[in-house]
Parts: sequence; C-alpha cells; structure tokens
Amino acid sequence: MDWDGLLDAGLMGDLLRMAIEVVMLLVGIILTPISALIALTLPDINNALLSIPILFDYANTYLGWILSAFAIPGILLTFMAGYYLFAITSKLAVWPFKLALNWYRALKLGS
Amino acid sequence: MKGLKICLSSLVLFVLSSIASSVLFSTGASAATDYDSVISTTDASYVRASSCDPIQLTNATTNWGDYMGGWNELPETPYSYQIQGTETTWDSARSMTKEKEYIGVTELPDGSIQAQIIWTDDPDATGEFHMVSGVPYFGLYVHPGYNLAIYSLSPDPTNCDRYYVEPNKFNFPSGVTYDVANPPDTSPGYVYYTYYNEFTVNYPEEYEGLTVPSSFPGDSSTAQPDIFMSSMVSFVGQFSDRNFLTFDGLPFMCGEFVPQINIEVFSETGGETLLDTLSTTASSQFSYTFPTSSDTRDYRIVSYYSCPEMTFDQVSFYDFQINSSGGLVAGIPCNAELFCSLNLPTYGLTQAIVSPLTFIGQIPTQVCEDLILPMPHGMQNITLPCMTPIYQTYLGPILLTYQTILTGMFAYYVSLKLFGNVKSLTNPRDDQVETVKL
Repeated sequence: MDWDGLLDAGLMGDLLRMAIEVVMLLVGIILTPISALIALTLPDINNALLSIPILFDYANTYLGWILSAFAIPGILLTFMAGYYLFAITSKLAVWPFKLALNWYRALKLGS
Repeated sequence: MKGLKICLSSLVLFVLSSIASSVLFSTGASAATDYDSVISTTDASYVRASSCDPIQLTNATTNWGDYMGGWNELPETPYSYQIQGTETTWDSARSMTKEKEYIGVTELPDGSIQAQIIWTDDPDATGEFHMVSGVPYFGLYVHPGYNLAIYSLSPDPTNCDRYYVEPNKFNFPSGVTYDVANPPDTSPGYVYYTYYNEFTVNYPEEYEGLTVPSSFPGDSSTAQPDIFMSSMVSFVGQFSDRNFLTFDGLPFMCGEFVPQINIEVFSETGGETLLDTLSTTASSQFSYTFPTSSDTRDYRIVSYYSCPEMTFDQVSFYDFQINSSGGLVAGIPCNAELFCSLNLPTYGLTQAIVSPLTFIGQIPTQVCEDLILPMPHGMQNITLPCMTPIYQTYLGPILLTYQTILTGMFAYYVSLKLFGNVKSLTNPRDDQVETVKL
C-alpha cells in the first residue's frame, strides 16, 4: 500500500497552517498587553524569547531528515495534521456559543 | 515505567542505528579516485584580459551556446575581433556537422580568461578520464576518421576593445583524445573549467568528483527565488519560473551540490543600509524572520541563489515597510489578506508561543533532503542520505510492517482523542479551548 499517496498531505498541511495562523492571531491578540510590558520593562528577556523561533527554524532544517530516518509515513503526518486541524478549529468554532450560553446561564442565575 | 524505559531504550537504539547506517551509506567521506579533482565548473560567461574589464559573451536572456552559434555575427560594438587559425573564415570552419559540443573556460596565471568551444561530427564521441605521465586528465575522444573543430576566443591584452578568434579544424584518421582539463595543482596558475558538455562522459569507478555539466549554467535562469509572506512573523520564499509557477523540488543543482539561498535585508530609511544577511542550503521553500525596529522603517529584502564558486543569479527583491510595533505596513503580497492587514506586533513572548505552532504546521509538508555535516580542518563534508529510500531498498517488507503498525497505533490514538473531542464539544459546560499543548 502506498501510504504517502493515500491522502493529500499538501491540502491538509495548508488547512492546518491556516488554522494555526488563526490561532496565532488569537494568541497574539491575547498576549499583546503582557508581551508589550515585557518588551518595555525587560528588553533582554524579550530578546531572549525572540531567539526561540530561531531555534525552531534551525530544528526545521533537520525535520525532513529525522522524519525520513524514523521512516514516518506521510499518512501518519496527514493524520496528525487532520487531527490538530479538527481539535483546534472545532473547539474554537463552538467556544463562542458555549461562552455566550454560560454567561446567559450565570446572569439568569444571578437575577 | 518499565515499558517507558524499554520504549526509550528502543528509541535511542533506533536513532543510533540510523546514524550509523547513514554514515555507512554516506557519500563524500573521502576522495575515491585520482580523477576527483580534474573537473572544475563555472558559470563565467565572459572573457577577460588581465588589464581589461570583462567582455560579456552573453546577456540575461540568451545563453552562451546561442551566442557561440552566432559567433560569426560578431563583433558587437565597440569590440572588434581578428580571425586567426587554420580556417580563414568562421563560416568555413562552422560548415562541419555539429554533433557534439564542449565549451571550456581557462583562467591563465595573469588572471586573464579565455574561452574554447569544441565541436565534432562524431555522434559517438565520448569524454574520458585518463592518465598521462601520472597526471590525470579529462579528454574528448573522437573515433577514427572524424573531425574535431576547436575555436578559441581570447582577449587582446594590448587593446581592450579587441579579441582574437581562432577557428581550427582537424581530421584524425586514427582517432584522438583531446585533453581539455586537468587538476589545478598539476598546472600551476592555469585553471580549466568546464562550462558545457554534450560528449557522453565515462566516469571512473568510484568517481566522487564534480560531474561534467550537461546543461548550460544559464538554464538555471528560468528559476528564480520568489518571496511571499506566509505569516505575520516571517517571509517564506520558494523557487518559481518566470511565470511564477513553482517547482515541486529544487529546479536545478550545482553539480552535485545543493544551491545556496542568500537573503539580504536592507533598511532604506535614511539611505540604504545592509541590516542582515542569511545564507542557507536551498530547499523548495525557505523562510526568513525579519527584524523589528523601534520606529517605522522602509525595508528591502533581496534574495538570490548561488552555487559554490559561482556568482549570484536571478535576484528577487521586495520593498516593504514595518511600523513601530514591528507589523508589516505595506509592500509584500500576503497569502491571507485579512490577517496580514492586522499588523500585530512581534513581541518575544508571542513569538515564543506561536513558533511551535508554526513548526507543527510545517510538519505535513516536510520533504527530506540529504543532511550535510560540515567537517573541520578542510575534511570533506559528510552527506547523510535520506533513510527511507534506503530502508525501502534493503528492508522493504519490514518497513511496510513497521509503518503499518505505527500508523495503526497512531490512528487508534487519534480516534480516541477525536472521541474525547466530540464528547467535549457536545458538553455545553465544557468551554475549554484546546490548542496544542506546548
């Protein structure tokens, strides 16, 4: 069986990236106040934190080879992408409704 | 706990065996034959007298071969040329059937550069490596009875606006091997480069030197590094052709080497200043995280690719502006317009948290490329090849079983997690937002 050709990893990858960019945007919005505070008051820590993406970029250069060394099939990666895509987007999509529902319930109980 | 230890031990064993087998199958550990240093390649498309500026033989749209084909139409103003050699006119020398072509470039001790084009009407002519008095050579072998035409182009050191063309044609009743290259250390001051070759090359067994280029270096001009923005924190570039169509893998190689991608970031506020440079082994995609600044600044990001011992080729550049909080203001087309226009700051804490997400997002589309381990003290780099093709060759059935079990176990794990997710979704009181656990 051709594991790599079973699902379109490229499409899954694009969808996952899109979902992750949305999450990154939300994380960015939520963390902006505290991030700005750190950048303003503790610039050295801010600079040190900026080196973390560089570490991941560096790790990324070896990732393809490591996946090949462990003979990880493409379909497994596609499974993983699909799972995280579902886990991230579905909860995010339903979360506002649940939040509204909980607030409604809390206000109703309060009154 | 015991199971965990066994798993970890197996993992370490597997990693060690992978590395060991990589080294076992690696290439380039050491020179294998006496001929490995014979071939040198170049993308030089000019001739030059030591005291003169280079005379370009090509421009951005035509390759040297096209130019050579139209050699008789020279000179282009203001250069002039003078015919020497055994043939009185270019046309008479050129009238022979061109079956195979070889173009070489020679660098002389005084720094001048000459070019040589060789044609033969022998359809079975070959390129051969052989020893002459203990010196390794690369020569062009022509079978008995065929012609060999040799055209040399050399600049006139006394007149920078003139160069010489020497068309010569020979017939070899007994055949001949015409040597065109030898290692630089065997002819001090002279370096023989191969620019282009159509002769069928017979390489020695276990040869590990450069391959003789069978395409014009100018062919790589159809590929250019193109930069676009894929997220708010970094640029991603990839190779595309002139119609901006991308390639699945690398569109070309530098002989046996992978091209280098070079990225330069200039500040264009208050005069152009080089801020940052990055040089990395090219892959089908390459990324760069741009620097932030304390005020709004105009930037230019320039990317180009290059080969070892070659000058840069095909530059792409984009101008853009970053505001005081590090967000992109304008300049680069964005894949996701909605998100790009928000210009979120790129603070350290945010970067630290989102970078694992970016990393995970890149996993599904990862393509393995040989790992090059740089070695110290001038030793040849070790290349660790991608292991999966080797597993497939030597351990096909075992690999399939391993991958099936691995995929099955992971699918089972994902199914359980999916069930948990769906159960959580249907629970109205569960309002936790799940992201990747960092």
